[in-house]
Amino acid sequence: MPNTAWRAFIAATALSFLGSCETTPSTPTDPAGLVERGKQIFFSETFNGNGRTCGTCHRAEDNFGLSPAFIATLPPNDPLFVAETKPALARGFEAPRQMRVNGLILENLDGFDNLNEKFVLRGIPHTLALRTSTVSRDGNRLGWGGDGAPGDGSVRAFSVGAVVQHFTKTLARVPGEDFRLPTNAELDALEAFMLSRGRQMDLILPLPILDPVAARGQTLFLDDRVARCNVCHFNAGANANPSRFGGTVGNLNFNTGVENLPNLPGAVLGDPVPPRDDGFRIPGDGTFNTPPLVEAADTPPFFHNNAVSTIEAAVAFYNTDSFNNSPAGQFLRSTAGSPIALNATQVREIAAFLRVINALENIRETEAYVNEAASNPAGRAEAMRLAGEEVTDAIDVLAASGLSPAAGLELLRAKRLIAEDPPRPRSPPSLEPVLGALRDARAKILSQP
Amino acid sequence: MRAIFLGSALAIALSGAAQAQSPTEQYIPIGQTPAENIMKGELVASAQVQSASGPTAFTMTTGGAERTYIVGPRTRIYVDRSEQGVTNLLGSLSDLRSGREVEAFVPDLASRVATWVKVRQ
Repeated sequence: MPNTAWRAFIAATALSFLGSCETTPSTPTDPAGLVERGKQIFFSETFNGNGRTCGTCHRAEDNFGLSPAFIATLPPNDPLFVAETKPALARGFEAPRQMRVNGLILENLDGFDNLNEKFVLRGIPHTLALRTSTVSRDGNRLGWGGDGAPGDGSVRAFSVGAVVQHFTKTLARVPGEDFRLPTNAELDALEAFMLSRGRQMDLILPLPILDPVAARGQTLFLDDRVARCNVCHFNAGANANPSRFGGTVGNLNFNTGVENLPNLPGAVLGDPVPPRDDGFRIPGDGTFNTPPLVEAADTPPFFHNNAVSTIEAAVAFYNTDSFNNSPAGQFLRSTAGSPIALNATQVREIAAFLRVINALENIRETEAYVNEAASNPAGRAEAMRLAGEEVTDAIDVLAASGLSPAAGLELLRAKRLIAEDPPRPRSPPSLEPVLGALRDARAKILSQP
Repeated sequence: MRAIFLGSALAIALSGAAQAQSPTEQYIPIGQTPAENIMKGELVASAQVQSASGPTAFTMTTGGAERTYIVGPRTRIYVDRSEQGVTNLLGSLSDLRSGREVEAFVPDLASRVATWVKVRQ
């Protein structure tokens, strides 16, 4: 080979080798591209670990959470079950029966120096509406305890901690061998994707709800002398009421006494008996982070330890001695002169309100997926599949309490149209009939949609 | 106004004004902690530990300047052994030996209390 050709060959080979050293694509500069890149990482990237991805525990089909009912549908070789399939993770990584029966995941929130005794078992929270729920005047608040992320505690940093806790090949957790840490570009993309999911702003209550039971529930929700929900869940979100706590309060932690409930599911199963969860910080102060309520009704079970399984039971918890004797319960008692004491009808009404606002959010999310399908032919089938999941959630959450049957009929019409959408249409049909059905459903729920 | 005061006091008491941390920090090597845009201030710097100046403070140099930070009751000390390919450890003040590379996270510069300190073994 002539020298010039040889040099060109060497140069081309070197360039191709250097190009192959790029382990991740360069970060897109446009926001939509960053979100798409983050989506790919979230559902596909294992970070050279045990096979899990972020999407292993935060399933798009299960509202970016993971319930026991969904876990029951997974095959035995799903990466969620690595503690059952990989000998190196057989002890001290998960509690398999607690996971399968109660949807509880093991976390070493007080440190990793005694894996057999120092752990907690917590439910998998959804990752919707993070843009509205993770900032407080005391810093970032993520996870059930509010201290779920390393570094600056931000959504961006969260993924690093998740890889360390949940993705490792062995309990040694050696970076570079048991997993690799996300790059800065990957953290940027993941953050963009996670923040893009769900609501981007809080509701402004009251809403003009047509269903009289749910409307009554909204009134109770907002009444600071009766249910007092709006004190800690301002506008049914995750932030505290600024008129009570100051203008920039944001998201807070409270000790509501959930850990004092008798017969917690994890303790009843007892395999193993979970240690008491002391919440925020090391050692914990007993407080837990306030989650948003708009997404609550279709993301059971509830509370950090999956203590109750229905939204009605979650509302009823605030009638209990466990709550009323807790620091948060005592605070609310001091402001109103009496403990919370809801009768059965009031519990149902408040739960109905929470079901209705959840259904409205499901409708909005369905619309978002349908619009995504309309604008992205390549991703149409997947977007419509997720739209079908969302509209089904809306139907179920209303029907479970007999709410807004007229809206339910419109939602069924939307669901049928979604199901009839051809998977790979040559000439994509308009999705306006679906959107029209969703608008009609909303018009049956709110008097001024 | 009283309600705001009581509520604020409760929130501070219950939520903890100090920066929280995740124990997973133990397994993040020096120089790789994602800590950006912290509102209350942050300091993450690798330096040579000059001396342990007492049971509750240590001095480090960074960028040619000496700075002393406080090891508070909640400060976690981690021993970074990732370069040796072995698991990192939860450490103690005795691991902050003069001459070791160290990294400290001090979100509140005014208090000088380190949330955590990582020392290279």
